[in-house]
Amino acid sequence: MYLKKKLLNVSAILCYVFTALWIVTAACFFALSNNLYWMFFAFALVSLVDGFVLRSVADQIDGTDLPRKLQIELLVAWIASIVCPPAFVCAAIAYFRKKQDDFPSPEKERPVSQPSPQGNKRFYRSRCFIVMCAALGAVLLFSFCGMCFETVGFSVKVTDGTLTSEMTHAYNDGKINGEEFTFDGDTTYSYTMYKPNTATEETPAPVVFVLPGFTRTKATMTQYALEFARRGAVAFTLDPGGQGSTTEPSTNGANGIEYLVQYVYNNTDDFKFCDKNNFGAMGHSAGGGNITTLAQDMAGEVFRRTDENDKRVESVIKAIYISGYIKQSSANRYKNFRCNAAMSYAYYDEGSFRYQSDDESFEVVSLRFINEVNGENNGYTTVEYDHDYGSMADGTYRVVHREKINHCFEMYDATSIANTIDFFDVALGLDSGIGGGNQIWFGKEFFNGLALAAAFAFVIGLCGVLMMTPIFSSLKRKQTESVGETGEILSSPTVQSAPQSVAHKVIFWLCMITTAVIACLDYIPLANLSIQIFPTHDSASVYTFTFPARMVNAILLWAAINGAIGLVLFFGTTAIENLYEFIKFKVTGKTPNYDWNKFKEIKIGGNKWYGVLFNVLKTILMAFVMFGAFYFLLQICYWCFHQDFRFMLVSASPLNARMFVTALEYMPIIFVFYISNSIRVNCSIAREGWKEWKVMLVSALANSIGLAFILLINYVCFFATGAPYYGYWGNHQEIWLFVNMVFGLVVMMFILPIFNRISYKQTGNVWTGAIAWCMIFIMMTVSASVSYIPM
Amino acid sequence: MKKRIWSVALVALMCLTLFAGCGLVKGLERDIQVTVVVEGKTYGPYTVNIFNNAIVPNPQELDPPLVVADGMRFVGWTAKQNWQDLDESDVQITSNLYLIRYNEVKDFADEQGNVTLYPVVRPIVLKDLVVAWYNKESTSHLNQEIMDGFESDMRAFIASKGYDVDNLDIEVRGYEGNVGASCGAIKKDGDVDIMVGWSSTSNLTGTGGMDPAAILVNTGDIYINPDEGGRYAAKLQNRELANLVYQWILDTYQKVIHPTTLTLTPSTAEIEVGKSQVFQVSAEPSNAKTDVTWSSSDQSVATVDNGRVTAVATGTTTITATSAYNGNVTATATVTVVDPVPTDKETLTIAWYNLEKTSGLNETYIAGYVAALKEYLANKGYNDDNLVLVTRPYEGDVATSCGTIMSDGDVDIMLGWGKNIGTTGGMAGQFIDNVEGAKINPDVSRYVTRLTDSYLVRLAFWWTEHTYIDGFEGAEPVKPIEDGTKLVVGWYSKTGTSGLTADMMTAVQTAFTDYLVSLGYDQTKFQIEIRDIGDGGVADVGSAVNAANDYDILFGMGTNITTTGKIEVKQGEETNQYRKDVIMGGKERNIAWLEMSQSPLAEIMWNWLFGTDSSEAWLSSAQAQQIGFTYPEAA
Repeated sequence: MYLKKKLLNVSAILCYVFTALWIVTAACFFALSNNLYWMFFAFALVSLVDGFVLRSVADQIDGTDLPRKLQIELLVAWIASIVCPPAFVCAAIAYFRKKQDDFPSPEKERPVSQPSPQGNKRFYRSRCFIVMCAALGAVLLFSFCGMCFETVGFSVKVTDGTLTSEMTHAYNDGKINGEEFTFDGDTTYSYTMYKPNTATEETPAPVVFVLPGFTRTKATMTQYALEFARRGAVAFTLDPGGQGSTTEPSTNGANGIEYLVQYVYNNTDDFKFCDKNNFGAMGHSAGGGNITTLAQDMAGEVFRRTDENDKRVESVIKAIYISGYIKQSSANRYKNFRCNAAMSYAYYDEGSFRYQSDDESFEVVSLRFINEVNGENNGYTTVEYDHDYGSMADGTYRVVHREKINHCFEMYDATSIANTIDFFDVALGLDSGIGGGNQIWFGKEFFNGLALAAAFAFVIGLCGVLMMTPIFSSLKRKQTESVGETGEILSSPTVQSAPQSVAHKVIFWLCMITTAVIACLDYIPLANLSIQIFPTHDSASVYTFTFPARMVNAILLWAAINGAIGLVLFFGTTAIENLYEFIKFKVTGKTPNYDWNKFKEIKIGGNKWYGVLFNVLKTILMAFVMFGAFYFLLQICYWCFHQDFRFMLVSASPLNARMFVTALEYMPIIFVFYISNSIRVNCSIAREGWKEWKVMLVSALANSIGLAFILLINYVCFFATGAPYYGYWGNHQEIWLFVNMVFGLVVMMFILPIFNRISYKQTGNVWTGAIAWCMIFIMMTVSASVSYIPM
Repeated sequence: MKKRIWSVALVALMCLTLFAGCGLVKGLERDIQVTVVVEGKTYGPYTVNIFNNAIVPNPQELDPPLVVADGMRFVGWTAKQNWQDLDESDVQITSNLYLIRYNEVKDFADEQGNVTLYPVVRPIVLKDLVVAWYNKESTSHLNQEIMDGFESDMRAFIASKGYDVDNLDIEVRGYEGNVGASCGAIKKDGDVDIMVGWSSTSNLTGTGGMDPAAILVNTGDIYINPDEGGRYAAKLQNRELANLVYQWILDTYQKVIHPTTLTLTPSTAEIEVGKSQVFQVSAEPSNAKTDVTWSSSDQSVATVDNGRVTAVATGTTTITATSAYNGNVTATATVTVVDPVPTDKETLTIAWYNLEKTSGLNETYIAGYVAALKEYLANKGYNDDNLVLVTRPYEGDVATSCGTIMSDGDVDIMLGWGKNIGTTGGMAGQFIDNVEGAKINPDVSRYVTRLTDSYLVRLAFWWTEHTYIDGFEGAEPVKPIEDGTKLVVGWYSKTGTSGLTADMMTAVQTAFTDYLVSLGYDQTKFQIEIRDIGDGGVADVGSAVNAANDYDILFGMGTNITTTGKIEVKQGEETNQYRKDVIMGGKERNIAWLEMSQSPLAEIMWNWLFGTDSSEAWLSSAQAQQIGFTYPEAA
């Protein structure tokens, strides 16, 4: 073989090997929380692309002098192969080799599976590549637009911070009013600061601390932060213990907010633009409960002193807003506040069914809220909502709101946000002149949602582009003519259809209905079971490496069981149908119409066993590349624009080590569901002879309608009786929060079959898409939940 | 085209159906106006709907209040005005006393959505025994099956005590819901004797809203479910049967977790004769009881009492801790007793928190600290001949490091810890002072802690505070003195020569006594004797002084004190360090610290008279000048 060509092929293989090595190295660095992992990941990408280019150049060598364009390609590839030193050497020899060897017939050289040179010329004009580039541009553009909203037209500076133990001890011994608010150890809290340009050392601004609820991250409260900052306040959002990027798993220090408040309050070096006499705090759901603890613990003796020479024993927190939290233990703290306070509780709060007694109901607690002020009892007998009680000036102000929304969407409700803004506008003296109803946060939410959609499109396009490369193109199945050699998307399939007998149709629709019904009926019982069998139970104080994402455990069980049911039905019905043909043949003598073709789609082909193994590894590699590309793109957007991909309850956050390790535990088991779905869509539904759009629509509905019915049942019952259907389960186990998760889950289950179908059409196998989307979706789910992993 | 139109129509129909459904659901929400009638007076209306409850007043606090006869109690509201004429089972009563819920009144509302409620009173019927159990298995680990077995065993026990169980009204009653709801229901029922399956008292009174006075006793480690984590049993009533059953519950279900293994920390130790060290015992599982008996294999080497090992004589012995619950479960530690450090050397052991990001300390800072401390102690007479200064780093978190310090048992001062050594560190009651604001690392303010009490330790502690705490103004510790310490100050009463008078010396005595008191000395414990040594010749005076051999300081002698007077003056590093010229009564004479001096107050007086690096000379003060003394060198 022509030596130059041989050397380049060797270089390409070496590049692939080093790609794997760099990926492993990146994974190791990531697990060690060392930021250098991105450098190694970049090396991996460069190495991989370089391998592709070297291989491509090698394929185009025909024994004569290389064309100038090819020379340049080779030069660039050689230089880039510096990330793979052995390949660099081989490519160098190849580059500088002048001797002309005899070149054998191209027909003997080119492997059958190699695309023709004409295919490569269409690379840049292929639809996949255009989609990928367009999606990439869209992601960047939308993220930029999101940044414009988040920074309020660049008038607010947004910075991330990490709170360490050392920092909490650094100033004034970590004390406020003689009480110490510090923590020890290696764990950290993650926070974000929104600083308006108007906040300076000369004109310090009021400060508002914002705390999300259970399983939520600080990014879910950005709407409050940017609206406060827009009105001149400095806002801080915090990831509570066990959530987001915070590595501390406990709920100490009111989920960490006390440590952050103490640090900002006592730090006389870095926060001179903060008015230390004007701190406010708000929290939603469990965050609201934490805020009551904060207000009580930092209450001091008085609300505000007029004589500044007096020793400071006044309340550090001047105003709080408690959203969506009415537990009696929290109500017991009201009398200890020395601040103005507001409360809101969603009119349609699903959790209110738990509080229907003389001591606990919202009506009783709200009455206590307006009565138990500064240690006194005001004696009110009824509560008027939206009514101003007390006085802002002396810290006795109280107001109660009830917005017509439910619990989990309360923080996206314009009225609720307006009430919050209006309260702090007066309580902290912002006097911004911007009414509470004048909100822009939805712009960020909108563009982040578009970015999420564009990011998905990017991954789809990338998949098609990868399939045009020599290394992955061999994955395509020759007999599956539905997949074009250029990885065209949404082309009409020519898959062999399933037999269209009545029996088949009955079995098919029976399976569809059965799986939907099972998925609807077993979600809550499995959620309840997950509380019993996993170490975390329903506690916030059990730290474990064994399936530490307490809420995701419900999804784990549901996915595993329903996935397994799907596989059993798929193989079982096929066996039954063919058995039926066999019996019919025996009885009637008619030629049986066995249908085993659907199994062919599941196999990964290849020459001999090592060919199959190589293709399996390539399948996994491709899925990893898709996952890595998605999160690499997300990280780029976060670095450049401080934007992630989200729309309300569906979100993708930048990777952090503890959530990544957590997600790794769940992916293998939940993958059962994803491969089951991919097989169902591509090997069953797609063989019904329908148009492609119908295949996707039926698949999407079949996969999500069961979960959607959970919501339907739950909320019909809720609006009919005042209590959700899925409130308590079993022996009074609270499971209503698991229903809240279904909102995001329904969306993911709707789009999953569509993505599985597209991936199959691009790759010709059911595995790649299932693996890639499993990794992406589970990572998204875990990052948006809570993990008690002790790392 | 036709298909597209049908598709659009289908989608539109689905949307309309969805909206109609929402509207229908919204229509289910209707308001009911509730009025309550108490003693013929009407109150309200109060609005309730599916999502809104109403709070009605306590009928017993209205004017006129609800009349509740003795032996009766208010139990809730009913929509049936003639409830007194009906069987109890036919009267639906609200589940709460003051909270009216839509679902409880909706069936009684008229067409206009109005309902009137009447208060219901029922006799207070106390059953013979009511045991409430928390019917939330995931929390309480109790279920109906377990409680059926419990009830059966309980009845058998009661019967064994001679009670006629079949004729007793005994109920084991489950309460559902969260802690607040279940405790609220118990409060409302008012007849529960014993609660099982709930949690600690703070949980019952905090989250549960129960009155602390209502809980007579609440005991943990109760395993009615033998396999799951222990819960609590609370007694609410002080009745004979309740007391009997409560004790039976403790005897039967309070589980002591026996240890499977024990560990002693440290596992080996070297202790000087006469000193002691505390050994800590830990157990597996972690919640097992750690009650042990202690023993020493050779009591002639070391004895052990409640974990404290006291070294008796050199040698080696094995300390054994044996579980009080299982004699086969033991832990041992090897103790080697060594000869003590020579008694003329005092040991000062300083522990420092080797967690730099918290304490700000590292070996460099500690080295600087030690060097400066040694220099200070040297000025106080402590040097390598009589002082062993040990610094020891301690690692781990606060609890671990403090635990190690306690088990070492020989630390005098701690540097770098925080306020929480008493709580998190478990050292409550183990330290004497814990003072904040010490900046051994100038950028990090931590605490300095004193664990022991001796003059040396107090000196080191004071110096640390003085050097590293901004604004510290505490007085330097004074060397302790024994009761009855005496200082004999002689004066040459030949006034014409010495310039001294009795009044002057009395004034000196007074001033010095005041000074000692200001240092913290108890005036009843010392005596300053001003003694006239005579007005004779220097030789005669010297003979008398030497004969008495108990003088400390002499006033008024001349430069011939040692030659003619033959009185030995204390020698210092410098010439005449302890014989200084002072103008007294206009005469330049000497004040001398004698070699024969034995009183510890002599050094204090000398430093007071002539000053030190950190204090001014009294002799140069206005008071001294007023008395008649002038210290030329100071001038």
